[in-house]
Amino acid sequence: MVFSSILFLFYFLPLFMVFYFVFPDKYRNGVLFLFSIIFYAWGEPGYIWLILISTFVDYVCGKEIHKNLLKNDRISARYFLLVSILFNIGMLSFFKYSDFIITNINSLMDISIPLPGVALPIGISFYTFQTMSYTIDVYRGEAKVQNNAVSFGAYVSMFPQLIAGPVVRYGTIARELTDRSLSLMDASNGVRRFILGLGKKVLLANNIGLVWESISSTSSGSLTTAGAWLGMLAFGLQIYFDFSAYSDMAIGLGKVLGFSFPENFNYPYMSRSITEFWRRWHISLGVWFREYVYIPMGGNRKGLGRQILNIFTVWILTGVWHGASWNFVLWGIYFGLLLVMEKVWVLRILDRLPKLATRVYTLFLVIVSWVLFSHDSLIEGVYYLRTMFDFSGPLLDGGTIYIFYTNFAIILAAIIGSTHFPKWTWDKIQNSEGLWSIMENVFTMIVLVFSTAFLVDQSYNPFLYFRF
Amino acid sequence: MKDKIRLTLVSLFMVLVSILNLLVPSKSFSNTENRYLQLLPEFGIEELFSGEYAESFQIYSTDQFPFRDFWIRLKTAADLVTLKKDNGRVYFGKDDFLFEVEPPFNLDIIMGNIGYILEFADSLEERETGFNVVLIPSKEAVLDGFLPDYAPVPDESLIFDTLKDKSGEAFKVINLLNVLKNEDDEYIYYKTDHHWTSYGAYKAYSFLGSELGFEPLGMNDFKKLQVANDFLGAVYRKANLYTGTPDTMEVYKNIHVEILEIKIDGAFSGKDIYYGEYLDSIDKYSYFFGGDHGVVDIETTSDSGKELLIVKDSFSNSFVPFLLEHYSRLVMVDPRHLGGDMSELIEEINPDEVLLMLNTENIAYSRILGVLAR
Repeated sequence: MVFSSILFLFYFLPLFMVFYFVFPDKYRNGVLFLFSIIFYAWGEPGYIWLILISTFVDYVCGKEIHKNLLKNDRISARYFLLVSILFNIGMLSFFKYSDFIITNINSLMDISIPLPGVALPIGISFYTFQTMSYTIDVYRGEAKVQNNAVSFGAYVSMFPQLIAGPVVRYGTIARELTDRSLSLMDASNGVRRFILGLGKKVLLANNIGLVWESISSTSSGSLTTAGAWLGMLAFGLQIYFDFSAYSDMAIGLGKVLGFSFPENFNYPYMSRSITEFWRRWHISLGVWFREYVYIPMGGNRKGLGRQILNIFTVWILTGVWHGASWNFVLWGIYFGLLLVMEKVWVLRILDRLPKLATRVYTLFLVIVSWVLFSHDSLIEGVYYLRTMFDFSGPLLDGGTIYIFYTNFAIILAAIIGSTHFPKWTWDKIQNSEGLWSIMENVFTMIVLVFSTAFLVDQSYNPFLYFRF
Repeated sequence: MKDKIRLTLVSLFMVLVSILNLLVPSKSFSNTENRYLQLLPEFGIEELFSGEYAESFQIYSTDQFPFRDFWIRLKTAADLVTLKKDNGRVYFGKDDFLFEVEPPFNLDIIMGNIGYILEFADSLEERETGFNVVLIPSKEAVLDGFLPDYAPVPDESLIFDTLKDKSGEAFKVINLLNVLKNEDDEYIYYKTDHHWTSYGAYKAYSFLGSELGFEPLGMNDFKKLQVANDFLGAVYRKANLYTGTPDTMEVYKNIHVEILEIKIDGAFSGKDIYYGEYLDSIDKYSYFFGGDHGVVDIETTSDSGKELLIVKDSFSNSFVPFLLEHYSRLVMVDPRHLGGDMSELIEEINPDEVLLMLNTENIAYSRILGVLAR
């Protein structure tokens, strides 16, 4: 199930809310766990055991780690930590990477092991990372052990952030998991955040997505230079609004339920370096890799050589985390390379350049990175890049003009929306007048109503010919 | 205060819609979409675990959404307000013209259909039956001046050129594009439907006389009747929002010739090719012949003695009435609805001539002509 669907908004969510708020405090984790399982199982009931086993294994490992640490038996504690990590990595590898690994082994050794062809279970990339954060933090003594299986299950399967993050480290919400307060103010702010996220997804991301879709479906021979740039602009805006919208909806829902999830995006397209970009984009994943890979490997404390190795390790992992194919590996290496270069000398140059120049520099490199990201096939990606920078071929065609002028308003809204400008302006005027608070609610309702309209429209499917 | 109001408004909206969901009775058929809607799926353990229940329920949740048409109209209105010229299904053209947004051509389908036409032509040549092909261009191709500026449409000349090229001298391939384009300031296509008007069909008829060997009648030989002025066609249904005036529908009734009898798929069905009851329905274009049928066999009082078999689609339903004067027997065959074998049918009817007259889009998007080679 996805948030941006009639099914979620008008069936699942109201039903869940009624149960959640009607039941007394101590049953709420149970309600949350149960509904999360329904949410998870809706599309693929066959995988329901997966999340249950995952919950069970990490719950038991966490308890064992804690018990052994109390007995000062670090070896046994370490053993259970290893079990947990191997289990999670193993599960992720099997479900996400087995086809990719076997395909490569096959082509490398010229054999043909049949592909298992397993479907990727939703959210697996997120909840395996979350459960690992739990056992690792318990081992490190940074988090308390969870002695209630239902509460732990609610954490692992929590539907607000199950499918698209943020990656909530256990420590962040450990306290709220056992003792959280609900407030009308939080709920109301959470609702606003959720609706704005819904609007970002349904009204902006989906529509900008259509621009990218029509450009990427152009046969590569007839793609023009301007078309290629428009396509990448659209893709960059789509992926930002899509992804950050999911985070907004998750954070908003979390607030309503009494959880505070970490922020995941902070106007990344305003960044003035790639280093800054990655501090503003998918923050929770960056934090995860920093805490559990980069720093344990020594971070920057073991000399520049080692630091560079650590950066590349993190970025290759970040790359494949996004998808099981070579273009994501390359995409990760691309960013690793840029980050190392910035660390060594580019940042010093950027410091001396005017703001605008550093923003252009960052956006340019990010847009190029989206070409790698959006093309599974490297050949197609390279061809696309060549079209972008080939100013001798056809520059512009009617189709591109049509897409541009008919989507101009949406593209403009998205560009403005990806800066902090609207929020900055809003905060300014909001402080000045009472009338604006009415406007805010009016605006929120408009976003909700139009998002509903766009969602209903997706199902409009006129069948034009009789008996056909 | 602001927070309370927000929470109340949003909760009210959600609860209201959810309650309406429960209260508004389900509809089993949508007239605007012309399809059956998903009803509440029956719950079963097996369906649950196969994912079938989830899928049906998902479709049910949108198909039965309260005031569904209103929401869809609202979405399209939002598109138009944000300066879009299409809503993904329909272009909102100039002078209130609506056009379908067509996907790019699939060459496999086109080449496949052309192959079937060539096979068909071969078999007709063997039995020395005359054969001609007429391609009816789509509204987008003829009225391209009324499309939104730069709106991309597939290039239909590809179909005509390929077919012409492959036909060699064996049969004539006639393109109506230029004939109709010359009339593009006249009312030759409906604004809200993809079909041509009777006037458009008349123009094609006048032109085809010299190509197919008959003397076309003048306007005065027909009695012009307006049968509807509230026609909202198939493209309107796709758009679901229209700010112009509805189309008018006219017919040209031949005053010289009469129909002796009509057989539809072998059964006698009177002498009238016009089905008035459809004028009250949403599908007004089916006024002509009551829509598409497998085989419509018409005998007329024409003294020409000629017999013509037309492989046709819905465009011909408003075109064939003009031909009644020139053929003693007219057999309309719709390849999409033909049950039996084409070769048997030709054998049985033994026409003097065969005419294949199809809209380019029907050749481009579905493998409908396989039946010709059977």
